[in-house]
Amino acid sequence: MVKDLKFGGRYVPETLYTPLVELEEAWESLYQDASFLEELDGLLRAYAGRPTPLYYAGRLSREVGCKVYLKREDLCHTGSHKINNTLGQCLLARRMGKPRVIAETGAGQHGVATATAAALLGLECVVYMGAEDVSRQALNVFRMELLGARVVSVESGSQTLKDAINEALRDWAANVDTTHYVIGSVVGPHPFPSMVRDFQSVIGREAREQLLEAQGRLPTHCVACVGGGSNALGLFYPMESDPVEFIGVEAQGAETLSLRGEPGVLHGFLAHFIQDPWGQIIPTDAIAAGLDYPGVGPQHSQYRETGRARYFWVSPQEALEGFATLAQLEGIIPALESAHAIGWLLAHRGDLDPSSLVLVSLSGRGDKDVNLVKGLLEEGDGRG
Amino acid sequence: MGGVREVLEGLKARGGKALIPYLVAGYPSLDESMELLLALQDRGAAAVEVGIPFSDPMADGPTIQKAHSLALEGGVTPEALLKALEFLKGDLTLSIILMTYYNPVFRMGEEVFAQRAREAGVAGVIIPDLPPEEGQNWVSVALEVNLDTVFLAAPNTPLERVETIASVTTGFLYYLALKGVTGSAIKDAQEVAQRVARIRDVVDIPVCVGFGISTALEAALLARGCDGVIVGSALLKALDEGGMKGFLGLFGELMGALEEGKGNKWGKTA
Repeated sequence: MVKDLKFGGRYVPETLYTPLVELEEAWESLYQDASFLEELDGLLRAYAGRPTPLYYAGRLSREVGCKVYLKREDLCHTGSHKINNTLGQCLLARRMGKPRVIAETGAGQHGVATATAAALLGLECVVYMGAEDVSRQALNVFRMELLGARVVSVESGSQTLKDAINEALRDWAANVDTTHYVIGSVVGPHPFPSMVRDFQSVIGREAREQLLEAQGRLPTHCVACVGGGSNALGLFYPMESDPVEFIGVEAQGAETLSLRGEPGVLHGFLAHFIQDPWGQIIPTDAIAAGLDYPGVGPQHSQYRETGRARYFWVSPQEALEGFATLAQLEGIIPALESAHAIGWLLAHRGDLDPSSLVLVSLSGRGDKDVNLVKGLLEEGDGRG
Repeated sequence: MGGVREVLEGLKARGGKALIPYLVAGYPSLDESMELLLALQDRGAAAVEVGIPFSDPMADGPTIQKAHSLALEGGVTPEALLKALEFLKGDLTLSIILMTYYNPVFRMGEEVFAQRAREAGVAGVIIPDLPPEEGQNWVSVALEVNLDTVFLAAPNTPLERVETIASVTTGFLYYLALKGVTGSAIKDAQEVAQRVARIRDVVDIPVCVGFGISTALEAALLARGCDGVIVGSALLKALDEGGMKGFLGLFGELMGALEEGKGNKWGKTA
């Protein structure tokens, strides 16, 4: 039954239907517009710091037992791959004549990236953030405010990321004439999943070329963490037709594709969601806020159903091991989200053929998580 | 129990307009929801919208969100609601219209949901996050068991699309008075009435207006130009503040305004 499902779609209140059609039209024409692409490319280079390096992690490779390359999205401006998408969408908003952008954020990475792009392009910016996240991430709230954004604390539901998305969708329905919703992952109603995938595909395009240059061959494996799944899809998609194995790594507590998600509809699209038998969405509990989402982008659902990608979850202990190991072996403190990808690799050390060539998306840097990790290690929570 | 459209057209033939109240199943409890249904029927409601609580009600404002979340805490499920309705089937003569987000329908399976709803005596279903494009299978499933599907049209829906939506709607076309969520304030009821008039020019099916109607004046003014008005957040607020008595009090007041609207005070009925 599952194989017949058409993942994605546009399951939205009528008020958003026509604006989504208009957005799709705008995106289809801009995506082929040389001046738009040039402007975006210029910003990605001069402002966001692209192309990001592809780094051969020698000591980590020896630890894992095969060659491991890291795509350094952590070196992007604002510290993660999120800026690839927010620059693209804010430029699009400006081209569409929308002076205001809104966004949802969990820990604040996407909120900061949106506030940054909005500041750069002179757009008004409002960021919705669950009340619980607002209190956990006070510094990021201040960061967004410094950048000129208004942060709205969302008190409804479970007061986390999924509720922030609900609230952003409500704002969008009310203000759609003047506002573009900069959604932060490959989720939401069509065309958002495809549009965000296209903006993030710069990760995989660059990495593919860089690796061919460095090693003269394609990777055997691409590994990336998956919450909604934007950095993973950005890495995988340009290599979709290559003979490369895709591994998506979820966090324990939010094991949508690796364990307990079932097909469902939320936030305007059909994909796998963590839910009860009556279709009520169950709040998740991942240690990395960026992975703490009860669903996954529709294309990942499709990849899983067709077997194109495989999905696993790693425990907080494994993620923290990834965090510490990368810091100690390579001098790179990864985002806790990206540490899940490293954690998966470490958990499989020795399992991979020594001739494997593994490409990992290092989606963000870990400065934002240092406090949290310190607390977890002191509690002994992370030592297993 | 007849279809929703027959109910509305019957009212219209008598020169009346429908006041369709909205309540959330299980808020404050399922028993009280059922009592409310019977009390509304006693007070002349011809149809009622019963919301199935959902964890993520994205088309709803704070008042209804809170009711959904408290109802869920109370453990209400679609199955429990349908059982309760089925139990009262013999006593309920008013048209029951379920308002549910799509995921509970999807999880239960469209066929099973439609069948169970029909067995429980439900006349129609509103699924606010299921536009006709995604609802093609649902529409045929619902038609099969003679269950109405009420689709929505918004202030920014182009007229051409309104016609398309109206062509698949059974029961009535639900016209949104405003963009945004339930319980927002209507800025200019006259302007809404003008938009409704344009909609009625292009559709044959009854049109009811909802979202943001909170006062007797708004209800009467908007009812003049359509077949019925739907009131949700304002009634739930009255329920929060004054219990069942508060809910029924406001309902009576709104009914009174619609009744008066038939006479000269609000002008000739459409």
